[in-house]
Amino acid sequence: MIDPQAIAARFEQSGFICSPEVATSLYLSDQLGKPLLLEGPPGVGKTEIARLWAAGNDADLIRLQCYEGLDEARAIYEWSYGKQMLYAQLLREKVGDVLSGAGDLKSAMGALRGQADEFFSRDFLLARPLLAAITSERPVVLLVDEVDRSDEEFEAFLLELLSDYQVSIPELGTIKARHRPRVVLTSNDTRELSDALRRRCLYLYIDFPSFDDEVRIVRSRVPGVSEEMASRIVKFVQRLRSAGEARRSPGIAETLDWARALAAVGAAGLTTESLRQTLGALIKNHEDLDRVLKDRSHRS
Amino acid sequence: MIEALQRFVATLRQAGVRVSPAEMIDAARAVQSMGVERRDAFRAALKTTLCKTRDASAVFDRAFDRFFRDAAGTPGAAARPAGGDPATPGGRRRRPRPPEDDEPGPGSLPTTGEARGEERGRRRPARLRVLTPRAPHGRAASPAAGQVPQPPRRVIPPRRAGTSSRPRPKAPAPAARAGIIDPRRVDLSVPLSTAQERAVAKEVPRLLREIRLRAGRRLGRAPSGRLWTARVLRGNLGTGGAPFVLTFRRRRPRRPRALVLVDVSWSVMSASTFFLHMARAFLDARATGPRTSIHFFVDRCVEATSLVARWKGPGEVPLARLLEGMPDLDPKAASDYGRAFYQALRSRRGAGRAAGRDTILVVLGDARSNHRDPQAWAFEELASRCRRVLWLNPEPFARWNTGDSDLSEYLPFCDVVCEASDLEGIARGVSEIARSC
Repeated sequence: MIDPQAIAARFEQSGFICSPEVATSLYLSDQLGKPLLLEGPPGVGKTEIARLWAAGNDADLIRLQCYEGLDEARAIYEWSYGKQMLYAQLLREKVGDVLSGAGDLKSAMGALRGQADEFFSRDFLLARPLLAAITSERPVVLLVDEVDRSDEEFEAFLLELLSDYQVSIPELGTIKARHRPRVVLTSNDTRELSDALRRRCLYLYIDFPSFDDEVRIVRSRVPGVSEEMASRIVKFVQRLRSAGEARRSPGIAETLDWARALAAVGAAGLTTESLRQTLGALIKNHEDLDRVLKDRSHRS
Repeated sequence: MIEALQRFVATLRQAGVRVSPAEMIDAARAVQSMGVERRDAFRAALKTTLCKTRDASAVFDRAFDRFFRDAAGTPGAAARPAGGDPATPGGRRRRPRPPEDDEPGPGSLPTTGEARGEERGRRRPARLRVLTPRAPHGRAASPAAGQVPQPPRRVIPPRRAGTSSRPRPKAPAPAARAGIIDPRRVDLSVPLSTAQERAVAKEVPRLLREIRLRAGRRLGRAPSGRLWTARVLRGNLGTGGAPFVLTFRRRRPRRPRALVLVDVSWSVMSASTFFLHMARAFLDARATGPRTSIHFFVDRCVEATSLVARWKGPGEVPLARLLEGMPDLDPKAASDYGRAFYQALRSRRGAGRAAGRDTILVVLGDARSNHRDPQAWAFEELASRCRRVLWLNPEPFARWNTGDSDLSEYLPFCDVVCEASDLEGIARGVSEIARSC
């Protein structure tokens, strides 16, 4: 079992600046066997943490993207109706052979009872991400992404899985996990999650990074950007976030995209022209874009 | 150590953080696993196990710093609480020393509610002025400015002929002449007498009875629900399993939520009694009931569900007295719809949290924003999260979009907008919403 420092070092090798809180939470999630709920604004690297955690543990990443209307048939399991129908046809053809030796109804029933009930067996079960995660032969990291987008009913489906790492299928019984999966849930905090779900998880809120941390991230992920340019970029982005005017605050991924775009056009500074050329990588709304450009032209 | 942890958890609970015994056990296991040598690791271990919300995290940060302040930077003693650890072997058990005057005591820890207040402060839309290029009259020069806004799906003007701004002269109905008040014809834009108020209060809940939540678009396309395989197979045994008769599992329709935003500024004070009854009716309605969230706003938006729930009805304290219990809201402030909607949308505990695909958003107000930025985009986003949007305006139809009214900015995002001058008009508006839900 690797300790928090080792986790942070592995993340940094992949270019992810890992705070001690993130490393400790991942370590404790492993130690205590509890899912980790990551909450925070979009674009702060919640999904990336799960991805890197899977890579660092040589585990498969199984991702369940949540959305409104997601139900157990799409998230846990579903019966393969087509295969079941084919099987019914097959039975019809073969049932005569099975019952040929039976003289009366009682012996026919006995002969049928001797046949395995394959109709609701694992052969006809389509495993969706949650079931796939707990039946996997290899260690896995299960990422339940943007769980706040799902319905409240779906949260209830998750409870059994998150507390006992098992799934109950009425026709088959309870399926327990072969290897306890590492589970990461992410939420953009657009709706309140239930207490029951929160209490089954370790919790970590990830906010936008500090100025110094974000400069470090830009410098490590976009090597072509100078220290001074990285500082200017981050200062601009952080001012945009703190103004609170933008419909959507740019995340770290957008900061990196913008830094790459500026490097690609060979911008030496944040001039009106370079902003006009590259700001689309940072701001994804035309009203925000117009507002920022107008503000920039007024200042200059 | 366990005793110190228990005392720390008790401190958190006093500050409003709900910590269950299971979480305390998790915290003990986490500390056992991480050790207490490194303060940051010890802190992170407690935080990730004891706090389940961002508000709780804010309370934790301050509580931890004070509770374990003596141990800062002391290797091997990170878990020693302030005033000595009573659990230390050989150590003298004593109560933690009382806080001095200049330091906050345990009772002054930020409660989760105060933490929310800090959040509100951080996201004050007043800061928008920094970057907003404004037109000469002070309104934001958004791309939408100057464009003719799209009308809402349904605007319900009053049924009477003409659109005069004056209150309509009402011919005394036979019932009125006989001393019986017809609640549907009471003029709601003026202060009501007690008898009128009682009549209106009795009538308002009836308006909401029609509201039902019908199947959404996805379910609407498949009104019969999902295929019920087990039933299909059982029902088609006679045909060898070939599915001649299909059985579908119906999904139970859900009850709608209501998100009611009530303007409580002075400009609409004359209609305040009716607003209060309307909000209360949503709270009492069988359809919405406990799934109702009520927010009052002037230049900021504050949750008032529990306040309205405590309000008994006609004859009780008027709205002005009720608002005295809401120090965060100043009814004498100039109303600012843009700021209120922005806050409702972005505040962590704001009205936006109650918005969802089964939510009916009801706005009670005149949309007069004192020439401030209407921030229609914020309302658009709030409205887009909801199933239906109903706006009840107490002003006469002829005065809509005049002067400092920003109603035209918000109209495109409403499903039904109606004049709330009498219950008859409102009933038509609610019926319209109920039909399209």
